[in-house]
Amino acid sequence: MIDWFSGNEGYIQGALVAALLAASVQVALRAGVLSFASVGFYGVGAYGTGYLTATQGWGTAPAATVVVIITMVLSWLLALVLARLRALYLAMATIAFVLLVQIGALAWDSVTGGPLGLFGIPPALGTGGVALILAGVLAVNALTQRGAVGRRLLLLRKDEALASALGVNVRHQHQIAFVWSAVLGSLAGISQASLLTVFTPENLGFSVMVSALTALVVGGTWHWSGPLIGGVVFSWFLSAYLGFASDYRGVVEGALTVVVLVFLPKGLAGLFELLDPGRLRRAAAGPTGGPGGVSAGVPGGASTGQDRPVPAQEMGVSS
Amino acid sequence: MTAVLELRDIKVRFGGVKAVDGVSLALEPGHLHALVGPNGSGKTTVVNTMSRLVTPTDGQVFLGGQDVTAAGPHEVYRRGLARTFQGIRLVEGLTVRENVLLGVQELPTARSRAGRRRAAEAADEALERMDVHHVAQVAPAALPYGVQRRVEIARAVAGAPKILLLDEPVAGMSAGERQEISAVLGRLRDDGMTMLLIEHDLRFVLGLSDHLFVLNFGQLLAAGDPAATAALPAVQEAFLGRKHVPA
Ligand SMILES: Nc1ncnc2c1ncn2[C@@H]1O[C@H](COP(=O)(O)OP(=O)(O)O)[C@@H](O)[C@H]1O
Ligand SMILES: [Mg+2]
Repeated sequence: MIDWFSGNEGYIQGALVAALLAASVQVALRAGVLSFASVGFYGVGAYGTGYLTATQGWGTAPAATVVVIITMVLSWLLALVLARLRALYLAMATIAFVLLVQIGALAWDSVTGGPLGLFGIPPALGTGGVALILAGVLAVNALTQRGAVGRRLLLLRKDEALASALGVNVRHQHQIAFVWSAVLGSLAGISQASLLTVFTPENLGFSVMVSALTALVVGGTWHWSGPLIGGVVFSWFLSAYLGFASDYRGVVEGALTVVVLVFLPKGLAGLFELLDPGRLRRAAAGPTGGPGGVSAGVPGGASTGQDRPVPAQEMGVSS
Repeated sequence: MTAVLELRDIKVRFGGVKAVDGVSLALEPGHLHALVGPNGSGKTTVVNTMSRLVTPTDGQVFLGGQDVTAAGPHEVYRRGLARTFQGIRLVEGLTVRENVLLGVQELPTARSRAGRRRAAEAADEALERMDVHHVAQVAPAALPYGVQRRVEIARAVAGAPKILLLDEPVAGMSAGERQEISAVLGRLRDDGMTMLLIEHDLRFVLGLSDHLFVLNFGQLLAAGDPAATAALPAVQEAFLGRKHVPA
């Protein structure tokens, strides 16, 4: 058992951090916000803790606390700036933020160590500490998927105009989701820096974003367990059996992603729903808006209003 | 009598299209008002303006005497203005009861533990009032269109709104389903609900409404007693002479 653990510890650590990062993307997405800012805050978390501990000699706990608070302030301000942007424009803007953090990591030598990065970050958290952080995060995400909050999130994700017409302050909810997402990204960075004890601009590459997204899509974008499943499959199993740098790895990852997207649109976590005799299966039972034997006796040839996509004028939300 | 909801000289332009062109109207407490007009005459835009989903190019919206032209849709909802949409808008993945809970859970009164319990009770009451309590645990997509519509109305009235706006609730329904909905609306009026019923079929609203507004090309063509207004030559022409408005 102990041999097995030490043989796999590196993979397990990779899976934990990947799951945290995937969860960060997920909590924004489940409120209807497509954001890649997670990776930027991952950088903020890693460099922030690295600087405060390795360079300034702080303890890991106070450093992590200060970094999380900075993350909250920064993400709240960013959310205010980005509040006017929707959907893909917002996604693009968050990618710009990631690029900015990457450039900052290279250029701001005195804090980030430039291209060489930061060394000697204390390994205070360890695998167990990071696992505990992840467990706490997943518990919060699982709880907020139930009850009134869970219903609100589903409503936000499926129909924003309806959500606002039912009393949901859409902009405010998006900001809360964005900040929570940033905090999770930052926690992933704090964890990674502490596990690696080294953090360089290479740890903050484009590939980090891609792996987080693929892990989330394969694991499942809605269910709270999706990031964990995706993290385990991608950063543990694939790495353990294919090796970190295998030539085949990209091919296997790509193929797996396509297979899951085609056959399991809700990700591997969607498999649970197939086994769950509860309401989700019932709720997925019928097609949308089945008209029950409606006669179309409408004078003036008017549209009957059923089974049709929502007209543009009903979608337009002013704010 | 003071109006519960008032539009003052509302204009809404979408690019070059004048969807609403200077509409002023007031809803009186406890009345069932009907807003009729041909397709494309601006009915939905009027409702969207009232519920604050559309911001008017010009003019003002008053709710209970207060200017809400700059308020958000969630704010007017919390102040007692509920609506349904022209197309069915139930959330897939939630049961009928959970969909109705959405109508009460965001209200300020539902914040406390006791408030949440009362909200759930109100949702169950609304399910019974709309006679959909027997399908409370079912996925809405599996239900007939007329039942889905009643679930939507249950969601809209569960939070005990002061005003209910219904955008073409009977469009595309069978005669039997229309009968059911008009009975539902009659009961709501007996309970004292202020309503605005949007419809493109003049005949459907005649026996049902207390007050009639006729919209054509984004302008109020006539307003007043339903039978008298419907008999006006201009109204007859709008409904029988030209069916469609050029966009
Ligand atoms: N979001 C929008 N963008 C562009 N044109 C719109 C929009 N909403 C409504 N319109 C136009 O405004 C006019 C009135 O539409 P609408 O209010 O939906 O009428 P009705 O509900 O009476 O059928 C139509 O010509 C329609 O094409
Ligand atoms: Mg309409």
